[in-house]
This record gives sequence, C-alpha cells and structure tokens, in this order.
Amino acid sequence: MSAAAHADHTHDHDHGHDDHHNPSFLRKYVFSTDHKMIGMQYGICGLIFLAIGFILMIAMRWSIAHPGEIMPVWIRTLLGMFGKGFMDQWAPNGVMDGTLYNMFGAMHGTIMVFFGVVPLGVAAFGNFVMPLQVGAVDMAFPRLNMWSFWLFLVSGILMFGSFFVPEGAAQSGWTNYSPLASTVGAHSPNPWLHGQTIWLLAMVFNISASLLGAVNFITTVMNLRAKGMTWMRVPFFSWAMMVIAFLLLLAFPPLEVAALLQLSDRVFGSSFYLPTGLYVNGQHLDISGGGSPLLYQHLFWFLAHPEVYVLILPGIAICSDIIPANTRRPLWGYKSMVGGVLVLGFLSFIVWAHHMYMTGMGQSISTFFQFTTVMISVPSVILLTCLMISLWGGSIRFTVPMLWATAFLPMFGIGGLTGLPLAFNMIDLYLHDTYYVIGHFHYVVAPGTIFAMFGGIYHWFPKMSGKKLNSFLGHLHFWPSLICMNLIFAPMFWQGMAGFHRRWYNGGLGFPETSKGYLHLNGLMSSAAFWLAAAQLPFIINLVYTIFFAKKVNDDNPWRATTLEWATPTPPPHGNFLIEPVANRGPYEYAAPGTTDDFIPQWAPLNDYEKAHGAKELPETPKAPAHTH
Amino acid sequence: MSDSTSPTLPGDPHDHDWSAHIKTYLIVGAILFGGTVLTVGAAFMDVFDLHHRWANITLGLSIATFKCSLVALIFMHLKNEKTIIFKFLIFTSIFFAVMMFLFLSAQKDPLPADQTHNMVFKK
Amino acid sequence: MEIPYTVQPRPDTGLANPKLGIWLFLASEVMLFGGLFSSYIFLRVGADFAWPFHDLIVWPGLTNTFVLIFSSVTVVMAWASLKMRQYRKYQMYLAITILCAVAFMGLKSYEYWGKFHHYGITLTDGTIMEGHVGHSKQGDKIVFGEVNKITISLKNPSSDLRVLDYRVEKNAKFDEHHPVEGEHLYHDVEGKDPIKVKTQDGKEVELTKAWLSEERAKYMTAHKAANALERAALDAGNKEYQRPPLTVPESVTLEVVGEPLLLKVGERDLLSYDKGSLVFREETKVTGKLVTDSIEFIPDCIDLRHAKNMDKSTAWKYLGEDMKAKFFASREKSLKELKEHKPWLFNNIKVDAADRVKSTGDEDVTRRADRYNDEDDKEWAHSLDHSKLIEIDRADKRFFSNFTPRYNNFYAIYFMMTGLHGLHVIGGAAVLLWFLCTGRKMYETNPDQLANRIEVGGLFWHFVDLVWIFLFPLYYLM
Repeated sequence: MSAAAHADHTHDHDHGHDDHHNPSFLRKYVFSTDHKMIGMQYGICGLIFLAIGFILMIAMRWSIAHPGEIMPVWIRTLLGMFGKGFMDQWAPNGVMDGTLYNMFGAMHGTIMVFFGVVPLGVAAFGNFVMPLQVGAVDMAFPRLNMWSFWLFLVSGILMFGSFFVPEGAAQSGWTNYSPLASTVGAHSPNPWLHGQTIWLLAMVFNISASLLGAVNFITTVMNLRAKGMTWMRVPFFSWAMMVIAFLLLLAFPPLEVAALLQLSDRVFGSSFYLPTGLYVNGQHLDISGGGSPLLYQHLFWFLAHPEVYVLILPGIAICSDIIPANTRRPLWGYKSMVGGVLVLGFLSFIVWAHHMYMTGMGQSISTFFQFTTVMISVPSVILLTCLMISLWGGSIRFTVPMLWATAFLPMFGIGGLTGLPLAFNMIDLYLHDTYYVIGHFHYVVAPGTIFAMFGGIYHWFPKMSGKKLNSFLGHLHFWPSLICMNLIFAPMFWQGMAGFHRRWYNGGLGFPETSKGYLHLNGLMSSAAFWLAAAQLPFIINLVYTIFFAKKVNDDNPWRATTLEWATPTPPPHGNFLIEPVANRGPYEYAAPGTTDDFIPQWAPLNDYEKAHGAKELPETPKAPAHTH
Repeated sequence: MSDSTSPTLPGDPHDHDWSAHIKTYLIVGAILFGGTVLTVGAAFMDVFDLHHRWANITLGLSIATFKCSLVALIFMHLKNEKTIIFKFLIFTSIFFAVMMFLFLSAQKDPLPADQTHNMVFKK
Repeated sequence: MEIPYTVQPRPDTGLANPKLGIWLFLASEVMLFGGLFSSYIFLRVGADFAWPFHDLIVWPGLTNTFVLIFSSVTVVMAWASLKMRQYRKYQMYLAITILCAVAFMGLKSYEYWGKFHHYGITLTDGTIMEGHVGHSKQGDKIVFGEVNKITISLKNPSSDLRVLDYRVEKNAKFDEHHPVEGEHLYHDVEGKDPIKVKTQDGKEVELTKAWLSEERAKYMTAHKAANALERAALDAGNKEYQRPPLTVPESVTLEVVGEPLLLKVGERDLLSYDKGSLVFREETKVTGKLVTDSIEFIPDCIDLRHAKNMDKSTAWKYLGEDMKAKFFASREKSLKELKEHKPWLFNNIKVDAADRVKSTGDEDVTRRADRYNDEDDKEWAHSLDHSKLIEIDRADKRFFSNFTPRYNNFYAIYFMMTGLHGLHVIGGAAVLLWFLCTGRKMYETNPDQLANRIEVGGLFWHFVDLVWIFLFPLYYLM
C-alpha cells in the first residue's frame, strides 16, 4: 500500500495483510471510512471554502475602498465562479451595490466560520492527526465519520447553492439576527426558495455533521488510546480536540434550535422571534406576534461563543505540536495547559451574552457576563503564555511550520488583548459593531488560527503524502502574508475607535463626520488585501508542485518529533500502525536525559536511564486474534 | 433459554438471575403509570390553596422529574453506570440549567421602567 | 484492522464504544431539547397574550404517555430477553415497541389534524373567536371577478402564471339544504383551458408558460446587452455614462379576450388588494372587481380576555344580542362560583369600573370568566350547523389563522417540540425495526453485540420517552 519499507520499523511480520482487500476507487477515495482520507476530504473542502470566502472578501474590500466604481477585471474574473447569470442579476454594470455587499458580507462570515476554519482546523486536522496521535487504528465509528463528512458536504453545497436562487443568498449578516432575518423576503412567492431559508437548512445539516463528528472524536480519545497512553501522556493537540468536540457536542444543539425556530418563522409564519405589532416596509406584518428577538440572540450566542473557542483552539493545538518539535524542548507547562483548556471549555459556555450588551438586557446580568468574560481571559492567557515560554532557551529551528507558529503567538496575542476592553459593558456600548470588533476577532482567526493551520499543513504534509513542501516557496508565502495581514487588520482598530460601522458598504462615504481623517486607510487596507491574495499563489503553486513533481522523502519522522503519528509508515496505511503503538512516556520528551539523540519518541522502548528512575515496562499484550481476518 | 440454538459465550451474564431485574422493570413501569395519573390530578386540583398556577406547575414538574429519574436510573441502567457517564451528564445538566436560568434572568431584569422613562423622555 | 472495544468494555473507562457514543449523543440531545424547553419558558414568561392552558384535549396526550411508558418497558424487556438468550421473546417485545411507536404517531396525527382544521380569528378590538371555516360559498378566500387585465413582471424571475391556478367558475347548483358540507358556490376549474389575451401592440396570443418565457428571454437579452455596454463604458473610465432606457418593457400588460376571469384567492397569496385590483406575491397584478371580502365562520368559542370593551365587542355585531346576554350571564355565574369556592384566586386581582377582570390578573379567573365556549354552552359548539355560520367582514379582522405555528407562540412551540419529538420517535422506531429485521444472523454469531445494539437503541428510546414525560404536563396540563 505504501512506502512502508523504511528502516526504522521493527516489524518482522509481513504487513501485506493490510492489502488483501483492495477497496474500489469509490470506497477508497470517495465514500471512504478511513479517518485519514476523511480528514483530507475535509481539508480539501475547507481550503476550497476558505478560498471562496476570501474571494467574497476581496470583492467587498473593493467596494469599501472604491465605492461605486466598477470592479476591475481580475476581481470580476474571480467572481466568475458564480457564473454570468449571477453577475448579470446582482451587479449588472459590474459595480457592487449595497445588496450584493450585504449578501457577500453574510456569506463571507458564514463560509469562513462554519465551512472554512472549522472543517479545516477541527475536522481535517482532528481526523487526520488525532487518531494517529493517540495510537488508534481508526476513529471509533468509521462509518459515522463518513456520514459526518457527507452531511457536511450537503450543507456546503446547499450554502453555496443559495447564491443562485432568485432572491439571492442570505443578506442579514452571518449572525442572522431576527427580526430582519425572519422577515427578509417574507413576501417572496416561495419562502423555501430564499437564500435566508436555505442558510438555515444548510446550518441544520452542518450542525448534524458536527454532532456526529464530535461523538466520534470524544469516543476515540477516550476509548481508543493506545497501550500506555494515560491521560497525562495524551498530547495537548488531542486534548484540545476532545475539548473542542465537547464544545461542538453541547453548544451546537441550541443553534440547531435557533435555526429551526427561525425556519418556522420564515416558512410556517410563526412568531418566535417577532414581537407584537411589527412593521416591515411600512406594512403591519400578518403575524400573531408575542415573540422576542432576544430569544434568537440567546440561542445563537449560546453556540457562537463556544464556537469562538472552536475556532481558536485548533490554532493553539497545532502550535503546541509544532513549537516543541522545532525548539527541541518540552512543551512548557503541559499540565497547566491541559487544565487551562478544560477550564476554558467550561467557561466558554457562560460568557455568551457579552455579545448582547447592546440589547438592554439589564445591569446585573450584564455584570455577570462581564465578570465571566474577564475570567475566561485567564485560561486563554495560560495557553498563550505556556506556548511563549516554550520558546525560551530552545534551539529554535526556523522551519516553515515554525515560522507560522511563531507568527501565530503575537498575532493571537494582539487579537486576544484587544478583546479585553470589549468585555466591559461601558466600552462595548461604544465599540459595539464597529471595525474595532472586526479587527479584534480577525486578528484571532485570520493571522491567528489560519496562520496556525498553514503551519499545520506544512508540518503534517510530509506525513500525508511523503513529500515535503518546498521551503523557499513557503517563505515566499509566509512573509508577504504576515505583512499584508497586519496592514489589513491593524488600521481597523483606529477606524473602529473613530466609529466606523462594520456594515458600511461604501467604507464610510455616507458618514463624512465620522470618517473624516480615516477614510484614506480604506485604500491601504484594501490594497493589502489584494496583495494578500497574491501572496497565496506561492502556496497553491507549492501544493501542486509538491504533489505532482516533488520526490518522496525517505523518512517517516522528518521533524524528529515525539508523538505517535510519526511512528507510522508514510503515508499511513489503512489501520495506521505496523508496530503496536505504545506510549512509554509523555508526549514531549525533547532534550531528555538518557539518550544520545535529542529526543525520545513516545513509542521508543524504555532506556536504561528511565528504567533506573523507576519507569515500568508496559505489560505484554496477548496476541489478539484480530490479525486473522 | 427457550432457543436451543442460542450460542453461549464464556463469562456471559447468561446464567445471571434475570427474574429480579424483570420484576424491577415491571414495578417501575407500574410506578410510571401511577405517576402519570398523579400528574393529571395535580394539574386540576388546588394545591395548598395557593392562588397561583405556579403551585400546580411546580407539583406537576416535580412528579415528572421523579418519573424521569426512574427511567434514567432503572431503564437506562444509569444507577449501575460508570462515573464517566455521570461526569458528562452533570456537565450537560449544568449547561442546561445555566442556559435556562440566564435566559430568564436576562429577560426578567430590564431597566426599571420609570427610570428608563426618565432617562429617555424627561431630559 | 479491527477497532477495539466495539463489544467488550475498555477496562479503564469501563465502557464499550457504542455505549460511550450513545451517551454522548444523548447529552447533545439533552441540550437540543434543553434549548427548546428554555425557549418555551422564555416565551411563556414573556408572552404578551393570555398563554393558553388546558386548551389541548388531555386524553390523547395521556394515552400517548401510557403508550410510550409501556413501550419503554417492552424495549427493556426485549434487551433482557436477549441477554437471557430468548430470541422469540425478544422479537415479540421489540415488535410491540415498534407498534407502540406507530400508535403514538397515529394519535399524534389525529391531534394535528384537528388543529389544522380549527381556526381562530382576532378582531380589530382584540376579541378572539375560535371555530371552523364554513364552506358554503367562498370559505376563507377572497373572490375577485371581472378580471380583464393582467400585468406580469418580466424583470422579476419568480413572476409566473400562477394567477391562472386561482381561476374558478360559478357553480349554479348551489345546494341550499347542505350549505356547509355541500358544494362550493365557487368551483375550481378542472383542467386548464387556454386563455386568450391581447398584448399592448394588439396581438392576440394564448397565455402559456412558453410564451411568457419567450418574452422574458427578450427582456433578458436586452438587459444583458445594456449591461455589457455599461461595463465597457465604465472600464474605459467614462464615469458620466448614462444607461439608455431599455427598448423592451419591464412588464407586459395583457387584456383578457372573451369572458373575464373569476378568481378565488387566499389572502396570504397576495401582497395587497383593494376594490379594483389584486397584487400577487410574484408581483403579478390583475384588475377587476372585488366580489366577496368576508370569511365564512362557525364559531365555537369567544374569548374576550383581550377585548378593549366587552360590552361593545365587535363580536356581538355578528353573534347577536342573544349570545351577548348568554355570555354575560355565564360570566357572572362563573365569577360567583369562583368567588365562593376559590376566594384566594381573587387576592391579587384588580377589578376595574365595569367589573372587568384585568387580563393581568390570575389566569384561572380570566380564563373561566372571559372565555365562553362549549363548556359553558353545550348547544352552541360542536355542531357545524348552518344556523351558526356567520360572515365576518375582513375589515373587522386583525389576524386569522388555523391552529398551526402561525396562530400563536403556544402552538408554535407546541408544534416545534412535539414535531421534533415525533421525528425522534420515527427515527428510533426505524432503527429498532432495522435491528428486528436483520438481527437473526448477528444473534447466531455474536449475541452480545446484538444485545449491545438493542441496549443502545433502547437508551435512545428511553430518552424519547423521557422527553415526552416533560412535554405532556407542560403542554396538556399547565
């Protein structure tokens, strides 16, 4: 099956048994139940959706910097992905108007969060790496895993397809606040065929996919850990994946409720989120009323705040693997990081209403949420600080993954610290819905999580394909990206403090008093965004070049890393391990005593030094009859 | 053991005394039926001469909670289950309770009406 | 490759994978229904209308509770039988469980059906009348005749020929003796006989989809050509470019040739209407003459809790002085009885000048006193009699709906929760049926795995039961 003939495997039996049942092409690459293939499927879809979301952003940034001007040919070419009919309907003269901007804005957020970052960060890396790291042969429920991917794909196709219905895609922001989102298009002939409704249907599928995935992740970490893999030997990455899975498991259902109730409002005419006496476009709506828009916000943010941690934890998790491998030094404060991530997971459930200070929900409850929000910064800072201290005194190898990981730390730091003022009620009342908020969470997610994910791709690509991505192109990808990202997002803080509202499609032209003195920044930020697009070209070239033209590297553990995924052949075959995966020690034994090398992998047999210091051999596993199928 | 073809595995709970379990299940079933009748009764009677429906609601929901714990503990074997499941469920119920409580307190805690009025209208 | 712990528990966690998985799934289900229960309480506490209670008929809910509890017992017995290696018994118990699911859903559909056919109408003064829609003439539809002109938008892609679906013909054979369940006066036209129309330039054409799409294609071609010209001008830097008007119109106005049309339309299919024109949701406009603008209604309950002034309720205009007298007599009687037997109910109630119990007072009192229905008047309700049929002018109506999610938030959350619960019942029963049909082979090879499966399916089933244990009192009893 693979280039498994590497010297460092001590298997003596023929591993051909993995190859008996040659699965058909369909079963192997399309309807696969293998966690690695599913991880890659998620990864490819996630990257495609990230690209789509990115293109939407490019078009929006054009409208902000050059309102009312025709989009240049290259942007129109990129938007060509929607086809001619779409552009003739929504931007007939090639100029973006407010409606199209709103549509792109809502879909940019939705696609980036639910179809880009989560599938890539959680589903792709989690599926590919986590079972390998805990030494499992596969996920606990492989078929459920496949279902999870296909449900996700259906949701993605529905969401992308919603652009093409007569009244266009969702236009009420990615949060889809009611009453706007419940009533927009209320008069259309067929409420089912409205982007806003399809958004909800797509989310129901997406949530179901996440729930199946979450059950699978947790069961795998809990029940399929390899021999000797006690909880305190589980790499932080896998810990984080389990916490993320818990967040998805328990926080997503209320969003499903939110979506279903809004769906009912839209297509069955109920008034869950619609107050009595609601007027829309000067007309009294034909509804019973008696509902509350606040209910939607509660249900939505009950998910969406934990979701924020679902977005950022993969970044931290990936860095926690890249940094020790490249500083050749154990992860500093592994135990506090594990504790921190557990506390973070718990607290993330009780901070949601800090998104709702503006709803006038009352002082004491605002104070409560202010308190918990400030509290949650403690575990976040623990995680970041541990990663930073891990650099201290290390002999750092600035490999490409390490570049991304080191950039992640300050970028996430900026994003996190600028969030602190927003936790306070009084400040938030002023900054709410301004570009300050946009700058804050984009610093967390874009140069934060997405940088870490790029690092992860460079880090694990050799394991996925047996080929190392080109280092020069990697640098060419990294440096311009770093500069452009900061040029895009840093000016947002200034604009936000000046009062720029986040949903202005013309960048502030309509509000000359507010935007005075800050309007010119729009041009800078937009140009940086366009250069950022160009900076992604080396990455795409790198991927294509490496996959098709690069030579295989004859090494299963190119980074000299310690965790179990590097104990498999490259790429790992169906069933993953040729040796029995065991964890004889903790996950980050770099620069450990008792060895001439500067690291001891988890699976290496105990050395004399360890034995002398009281480490016990794991008991022999009785030969399982499993191999005789 | 009616099926003679039934295969047996060593160490199975096969020879274990099942009649006691079955008796428990039947008793619990009967209690659940009785509890349902009680719930209906509680909804229509006057509880302690309290003037508000909340008394009926509290009583009805308490019976429902009791029934629910019986189903969970006996039918779903939770009483013999491993602590790890309890841990999940405890966290789940905490989040559930938090959700319900905070939703409500966010609604029940508006700015006092007269104060708002003064702020907005009587500058 | 074999995944460990699919049947036997892992020693340190004490759990096999399926059981761990199902409990995690149930935890997420707890949050799903938790979100719904929270929404229920949120909506109920914040409701600005009298939250209905004791409005649902108890016996179907009660029966369903018994059915589900019984099925919970049988499913656990099925599992126990499997553990005791009694396959026949297992089959029997599982089959009974599935039959219970069918019975549950049957009763549920019966309840839903009743609600779909029960209507409520809120009048402009806040009075609510509940009852059924009469079907002697127009039912709850608007009848619009002498349609001679149709305007169809070419710009709006969803504009279609749906207007033709509302065509009716006058049925002369109106049965005077069975007006309610008899023939409609306005008969739907079966089959679509062609309609000839005259376009603005005097051409006579048959109104078909093909013709319309041809016209639309012409419009789109012109539109796209203009777009391309404008883009080219903007690309060349010509900011002053003025887009010339299109040579083709954005909509076509058609005159009906021959007999004018008669339409019967639901109010919700329209964007707006007046005495001389209708505008449909797809922006098609027709002109003609409004024939009937009233709702045929057979009331079985009158609810004055939100009426501005009980004495002058618009309802009396339709129900007559007789009914008004009956209502007030019954009201007085109820209040007297309540004051005698449950004086504590009145502790917190403010009574205004007209001895009017404020709706902010105790729900029990207002419901007993200000709501008048079949419990108070055995003759009135439950007989769909022609003599009870009234025609309510649409101008007097504020809101009209059957008892679907639209009616109010009680029914909205009722349908949402029982509907989702029903889906869980169907899903659970389907899984159990699957085990029942395919279990034999697994029983012979690995009976413990089958027992595990039944246990997992059973856990889900118990959870479904558990949700219902809360749903029943919340909706039917409180």
